[in-house]
Amino acid sequence: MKLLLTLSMRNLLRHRGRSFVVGLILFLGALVMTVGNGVLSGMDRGLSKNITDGFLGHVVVMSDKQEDDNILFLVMGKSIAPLADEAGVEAVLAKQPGLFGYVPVGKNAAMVLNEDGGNPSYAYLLGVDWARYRRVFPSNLKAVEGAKGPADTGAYVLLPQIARKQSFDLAGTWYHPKGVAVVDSSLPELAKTHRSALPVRDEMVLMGFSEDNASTDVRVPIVGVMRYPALNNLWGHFAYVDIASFRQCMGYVNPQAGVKLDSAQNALLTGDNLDALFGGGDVGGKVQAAATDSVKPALGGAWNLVLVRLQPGQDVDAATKRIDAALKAAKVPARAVAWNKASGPVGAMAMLIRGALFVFVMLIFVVAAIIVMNTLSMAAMERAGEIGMMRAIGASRNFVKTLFLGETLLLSLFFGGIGIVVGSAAVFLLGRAGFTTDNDFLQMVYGGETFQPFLRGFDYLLALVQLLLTSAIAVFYPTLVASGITPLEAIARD
Amino acid sequence: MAIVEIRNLVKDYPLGETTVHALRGVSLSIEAGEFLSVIGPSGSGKTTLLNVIGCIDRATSGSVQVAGQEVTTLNDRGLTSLRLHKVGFIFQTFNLIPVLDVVENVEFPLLLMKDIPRAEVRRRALEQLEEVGLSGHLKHRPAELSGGQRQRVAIARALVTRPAIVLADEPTANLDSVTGEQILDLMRDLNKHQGTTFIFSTHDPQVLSYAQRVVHMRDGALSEGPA
Repeated sequence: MKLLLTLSMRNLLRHRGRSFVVGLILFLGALVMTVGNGVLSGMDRGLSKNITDGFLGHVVVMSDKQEDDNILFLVMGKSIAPLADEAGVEAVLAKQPGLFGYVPVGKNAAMVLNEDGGNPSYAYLLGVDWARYRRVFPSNLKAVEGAKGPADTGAYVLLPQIARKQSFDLAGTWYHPKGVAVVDSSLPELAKTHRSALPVRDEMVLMGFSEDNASTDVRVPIVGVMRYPALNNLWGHFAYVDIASFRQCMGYVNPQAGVKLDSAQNALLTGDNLDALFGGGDVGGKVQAAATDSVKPALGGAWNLVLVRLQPGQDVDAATKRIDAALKAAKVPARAVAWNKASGPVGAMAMLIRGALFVFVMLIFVVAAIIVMNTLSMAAMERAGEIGMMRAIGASRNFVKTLFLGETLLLSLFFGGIGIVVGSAAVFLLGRAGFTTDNDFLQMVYGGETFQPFLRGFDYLLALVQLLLTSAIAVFYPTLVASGITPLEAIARD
Repeated sequence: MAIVEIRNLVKDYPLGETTVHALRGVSLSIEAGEFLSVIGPSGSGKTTLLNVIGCIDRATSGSVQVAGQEVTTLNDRGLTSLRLHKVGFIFQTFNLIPVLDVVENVEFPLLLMKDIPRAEVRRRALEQLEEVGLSGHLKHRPAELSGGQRQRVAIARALVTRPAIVLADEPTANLDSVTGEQILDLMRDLNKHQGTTFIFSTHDPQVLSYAQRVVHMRDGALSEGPA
């Protein structure tokens, strides 16, 4: 071993030029691979933080009647099936280990009616029990105007900046929080030029997009305008409303279970006198009031999804399978879906970008291996005399192979090691530089609005494995060439 | 007792569409402790003969026994082992390992044997270097030595494993006449003192005066006779 080490070291120093060229390639390869690993890890962490921790949770429990796993961006008007037994879902989740928390939400799209006579706009709605939602997602929103959230359990809408701008673009109405003056600096340029004639509203009239046409109009006050700290361009289409308003606007009202009619109203509904039914002016109003009362946010009410956040370090796929199996075992008509599937195109795009980055890193890996292989093959041929002489005086093929492997390993560890160290420094500096972007694609690459590459312990190990694998692949053919050199070739070269 | 026994040795080399007959049925017996010279003009087949005896090249047909071992049936591993344990080589161009110093070059074949303790390796290498008169140059690299000194190192390396035979292909071809004579004196002394069998090829008539026995080669065939 000492002999091999001595020979390897001295051969590398003797052929300094070639060693430097091979070393430089290994250095650059290790550098790019380390930075690439850092970007991938940053993307992973960013996406995890900004998608799972910031909006969707790691696992989404949905009705088994829900056709598509993708529940994030659906074709307009396509509803998400309500959970038939949300209480059953919660009972199952309560027994699951490794959960940070879970919260039921209503989720669908709604038309925003234009009270000024123009075109309507639309919004994606999340119906929540605000206090409970904030316990699971405590810091995923930033207030821009008005309150950070609703003060009580009454009707409200918490409107994102982007949804507000979208409504203005479609309907021409500018929304602002109730009790808060319009902030002129927030107005789009077009609104500023027509400021005096600008329709301004502090309430929204929402009509749910419902496939069974059971939706109704609800008027909700705007309590605040907010933005998401990360991936705002994606999540900024989702407005929060109280669950009662959500259910009402989506028509999630069960008259038989939730509406209490007095004997006179029952008689009216079961009677034959249709004129009496439509003649009175207050039946609808009373039902409306009762219905509103019957859909207070409570367990067992109508919800579309349960968002589940895992504790740090939990395996998402394993947790999803575990929850899904528990739901089935408890005969709860629901299924668990991992965030990357539930987020549809967002998750698919994230996987695609991650895959592309990985392919890029692997490409560097292959190119480096080919260049090193070519250089080492030439070196083997140049050293045929020396190798043949060693074989002549009794060195085995394995000795020659080990000598070549040893030389390449030393180069890899030295230059590749420097590459990993410099790559780590580059990742650290890139993370400190705080590059930000508004571009949707780059936000996916960054894993958020700020470029935050970082290296885990696993990434260092991965870089080392990649480096050694590159070296092993690169040295494989040259080793065959070198060990195939016969003593006769050394004599012939004399 | 014959240390090398060759019977009807044939070695053909394909060269394009023709075949070069390098050895045409050579038979030769070499006794242990001989100081044998193979002479002949260039292309006569003397290097090929030494290569086959030294297990560097394979015979096309015939039988070659070295130290009682039939080499024509050995695989690469067997040939390598035989070269390491039974044969010493001295090359025309010295062929030392440039990155190792003098003592390391001599130790090299002993270290390949793996089963000799490190202290013993060093002791034998130093002893052999003293025999060839290079005790004062232990830490020199080959590039820092003269041609004669390099060849002495090569001789020490060839002998340090205590081989059954030492093969020397034109060992003085790259040396001036005085140095060449010194090398031949050294080889003959070692032959006498250590009893090692030396087989060397040459076409230098001066070398022949040192030979105990001379065989002539011409066109791949052998004839024995005086120098």
